[in-house]
Amino acid sequence: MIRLQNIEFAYGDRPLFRDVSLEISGGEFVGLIGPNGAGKTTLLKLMAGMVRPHRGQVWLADRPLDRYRRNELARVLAYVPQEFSSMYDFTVEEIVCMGRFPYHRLFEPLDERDWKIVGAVMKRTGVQTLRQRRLSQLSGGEKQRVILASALAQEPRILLLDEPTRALDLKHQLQFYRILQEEQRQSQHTVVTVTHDVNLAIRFCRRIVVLKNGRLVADGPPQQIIRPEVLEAVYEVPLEIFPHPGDGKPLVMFRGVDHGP
Amino acid sequence: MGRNPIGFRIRFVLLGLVSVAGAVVVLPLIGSQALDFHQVWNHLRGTTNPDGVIFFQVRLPRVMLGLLAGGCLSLAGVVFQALLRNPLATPYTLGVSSGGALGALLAIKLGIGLNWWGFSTLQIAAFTGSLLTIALVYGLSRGIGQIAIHIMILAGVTLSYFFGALILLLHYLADFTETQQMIRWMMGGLDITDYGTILRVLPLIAVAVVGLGALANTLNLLSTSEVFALSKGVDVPRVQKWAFLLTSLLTGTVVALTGPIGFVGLIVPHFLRMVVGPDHRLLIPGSFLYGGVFLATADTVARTVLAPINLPVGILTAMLGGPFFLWLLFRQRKHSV
Repeated sequence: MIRLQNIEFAYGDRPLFRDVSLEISGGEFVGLIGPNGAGKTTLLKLMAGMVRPHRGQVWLADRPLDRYRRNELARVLAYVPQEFSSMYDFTVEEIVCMGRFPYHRLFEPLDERDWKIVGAVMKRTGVQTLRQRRLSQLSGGEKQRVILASALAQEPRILLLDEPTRALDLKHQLQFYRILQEEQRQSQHTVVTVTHDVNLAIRFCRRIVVLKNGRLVADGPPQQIIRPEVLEAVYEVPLEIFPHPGDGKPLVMFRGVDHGP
Repeated sequence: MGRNPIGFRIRFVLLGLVSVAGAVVVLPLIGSQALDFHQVWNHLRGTTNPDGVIFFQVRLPRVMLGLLAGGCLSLAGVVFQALLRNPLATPYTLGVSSGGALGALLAIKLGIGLNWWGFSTLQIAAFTGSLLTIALVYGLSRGIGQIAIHIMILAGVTLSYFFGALILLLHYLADFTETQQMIRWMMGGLDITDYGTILRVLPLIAVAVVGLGALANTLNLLSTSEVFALSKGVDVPRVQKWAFLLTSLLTGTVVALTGPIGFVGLIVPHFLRMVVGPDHRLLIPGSFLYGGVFLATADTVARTVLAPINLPVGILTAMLGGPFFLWLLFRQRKHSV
């Protein structure tokens, strides 16, 4: 579905990626993890066509990404940015409707089918009761679900999410990922999500890609790659990994905290 | 909780159309000498009389120019506020008016006498100054494809100050008559005595207004965030280029005809956002209609309050606009707490 081929990328004279390749097939649920500055967000932006590689090629369904027109791309691929804030106070419904933008010409209003889709995605993300609310009146969890709804309204085959639950509490993190998981199961989306929460990634992603300093350090199913020697080298902290008493999946915890005098 | 209901918001924009029609009929009747509507009506039906002549030859062109200029400035304000994602942006934020002023003042100082297509030297010089400025700002802030908005604002503000210094220099070098002329131009006003000028700029304005109207949905997305707009399929650099071009044409044209009239491009968009919300499909027609009515009304007041003196409308909009805007800000703060 998406293929990064020998990607080179730098911010100014600070190189980030040298010859990175990665292939993600249709229907995968991939978690991108790694420490700050590892290049997770940039990798996601490269996949979304938000930034261009300096060398190498990004392929989307056998066609180079830069051959897509913007609106064409938005019908295949939805990108949920790290933070969303707007100077102007749109309502929930207006934001979700913006997801239908790539399907219309400049003047064209939304038709019946659009409204059906908008209604359906609002229901699935649980924001239908917030329809007429303004963005400024939403809590963090509500806002993220609205942005997700807007992305789903694009009817994408690929969802790219950049730390979508960073500002959310435990309940809302879980709620968000459950909705995402349900969507993925129903419509066989390809999902790539960047996260700092390793345990969350282990629970929801079927493949985890570990990045450090612009290099892919590990790549595979969580059970295989979530090992102390891998993660300790990446995060540079002593870690303990043990099976979760409930689901048996690995649970990652830091070790050796000094409680002081 | 939510907003005014959608039906109300649409009706409010339509009411703008009625207000424009009302302004055309009512405003020319008002002035240092009040006109009799029956006389004007008779004039229209063939019985020439002084009231009719004043109505059609003196006051109506002025009201029309007010409607057009106010509409364009408010619309330009709306679009700049979306493009720069800053509700305090005005059509002049990027230095368009200072550039126009510099052009006009240079023409006065150098005493150039041109006449193209019935446009005066001053108008041509101001228009050229405005467009050169925006081209400069755009060029400066255009890196590799993408425009850096904060650089654009900085470049615009800096250029405004720089041109301000040059304008002061021109004032200093000018003799008494020239200074008089310069100051009068800087005050901004709707002095016009014929329909020719209006008719000649009308096609340009129509193209720009329709073009910006077509971008309404795109501007909605762009006014939230650049990344969000990109992710929804907006070709951001291309839209920015067109929107800047069309808005600059509008502003440059108005500045050339009326001089820099302030605050219209700030107050009207702000007021409309309070009533109809941030949706550009309503904001664009709404700001054009109400902006026009606002400026034409302000000008009617300006030429009436101190009659027989015609106060330049730019002074009035600034005097009304400043306090009104402060009141809006305080009111909004009180509500949000």
